[in-house]
Amino acid sequence: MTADALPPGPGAVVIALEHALIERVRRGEGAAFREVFRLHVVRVRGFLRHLLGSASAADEATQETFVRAHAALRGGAEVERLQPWLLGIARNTAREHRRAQQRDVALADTVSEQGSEPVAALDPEALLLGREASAVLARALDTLSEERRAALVLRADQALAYEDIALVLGWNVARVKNEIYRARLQLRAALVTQLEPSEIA
Amino acid sequence: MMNAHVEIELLEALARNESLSNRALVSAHLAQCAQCADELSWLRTEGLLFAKSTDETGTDALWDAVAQKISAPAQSDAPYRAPGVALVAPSKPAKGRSRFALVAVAAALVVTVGTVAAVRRGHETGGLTGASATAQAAVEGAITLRLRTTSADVRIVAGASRVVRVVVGDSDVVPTIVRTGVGRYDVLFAGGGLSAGRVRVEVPPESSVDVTTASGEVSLGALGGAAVVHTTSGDIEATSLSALTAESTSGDVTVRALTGGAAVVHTISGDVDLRHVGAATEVTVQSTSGALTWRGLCGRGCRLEAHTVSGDVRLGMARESAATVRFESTSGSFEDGLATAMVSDGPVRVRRIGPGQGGGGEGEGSVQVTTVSGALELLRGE
Repeated sequence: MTADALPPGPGAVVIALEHALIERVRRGEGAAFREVFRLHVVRVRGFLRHLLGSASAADEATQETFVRAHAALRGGAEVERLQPWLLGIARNTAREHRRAQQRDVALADTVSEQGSEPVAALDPEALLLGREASAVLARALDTLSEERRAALVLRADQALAYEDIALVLGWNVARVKNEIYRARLQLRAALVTQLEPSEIA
Repeated sequence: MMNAHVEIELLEALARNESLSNRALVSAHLAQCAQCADELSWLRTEGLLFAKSTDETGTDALWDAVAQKISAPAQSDAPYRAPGVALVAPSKPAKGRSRFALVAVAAALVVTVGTVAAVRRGHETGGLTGASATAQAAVEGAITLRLRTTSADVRIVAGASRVVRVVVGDSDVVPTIVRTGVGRYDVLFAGGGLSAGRVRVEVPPESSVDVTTASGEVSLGALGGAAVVHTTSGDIEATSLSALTAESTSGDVTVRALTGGAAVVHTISGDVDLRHVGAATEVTVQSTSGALTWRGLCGRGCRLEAHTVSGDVRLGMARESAATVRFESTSGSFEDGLATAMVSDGPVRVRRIGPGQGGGGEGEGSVQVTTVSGALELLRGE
């Protein structure tokens, strides 16, 4: 059963609108860059929040992301689509941020075996009522490697197409699909370990 | 999970409650396949967790910090320069006139100056309170008038058939009317610009105007001709025009009675309100976050194009309208208050409005709306 009914990505006119906005930023219109910020800040900050696991770190990295984006646009950077381009900058910013904090992000291997088999589904309501959702998710995401976490967040939270995720992460589409598949298994395993037996339906 | 059963992309779409043409087929499969049903349940859980973790608060403070770092204004007050259009430099108490003024005066010297510009103080103010200076010139009939200000409000109305008159209020700046070509006139202000106050201009009926202002508001009253208006933050209001080109960064654009010509409106965040639009009018609106409200009759020869990123689009169609509506959006909703006839319901939703709302497109108007997240609402209009 195929997904041929799925909606396509943004059309040519939408891309043209973005290019017009980019051109205005290049011309130095502060209002235009504010519009870029307004349109993308929630997604960029959400992505960084999941990558960095901290609201204050995400806010700091969000600022840095947009400052870099502004400098790049004013410098004439070629941008095909703003969202994946901004998320790519955000991801690099997050990596530098984590390196600066010398935090260990290589946790994936410790749980990869445990996540290699399908896990029984949970009752979403039980999960959300039993624990504060963002804390539960943050702990579960923290068990994934930075790369795998980025791929999953871009798909599950940002709803990016595989091709756009490949653009952000510099992978091919096959690797994107594979990493997301494994990330999901790991995430589910991590969620299950957080729950008391009574909370599982 | 990947290939054995229902494709993961399809399950993801189901988890997000997106509409699918083959939903019934998928549902039937899910009823029999525990593995696929389990996968869907997990995807829904995943979606709920991410949705619960989304925080949209505090972005204003983030912008303030970003704006400070990039030295960009926190408000939408950066000068907006439309392609090929230069804003008049702010008034300088300098040694000479601005470059614009010099060019215009030079042009006026080349052509025959057939006008008499009279400057009077405190007379013939055309109802403008606090008037300080008036300039008046005799003309042959409808003209094209160009006027540039930095932040003064501008009102232009149709007056006597052979006179153009400029009244400046709440300012000491003296206006001058300069002929720059056959039927073409510029309004100049001492020092090169008008940074405060108000300007009222009377032109012969059917005249056309070209107005640029940074923050001043522009009001055009029943000119009957065409108008080109550029503003940064000033609102634009117009009545009874044959054609309009309007560009604004954050100013709203409101037009009443646009008949038979074309309107091209570009804004970033300014809302656009077009009312009493004629059946054969061509309208193109492009906005980033500004909303569009369009009310009128769309019939033979009518073409309406609206492209926004997040701005909503409301179209109030007169009962006699006959048009095909095409709506393409990444995430914007579609509300059909007209119960239009569906032509197609794919990525581009196509609907037909008109008597009987069926059949094909000979002689009908065309409406095309494209948004990223902006909604489209169709409703019964004037």
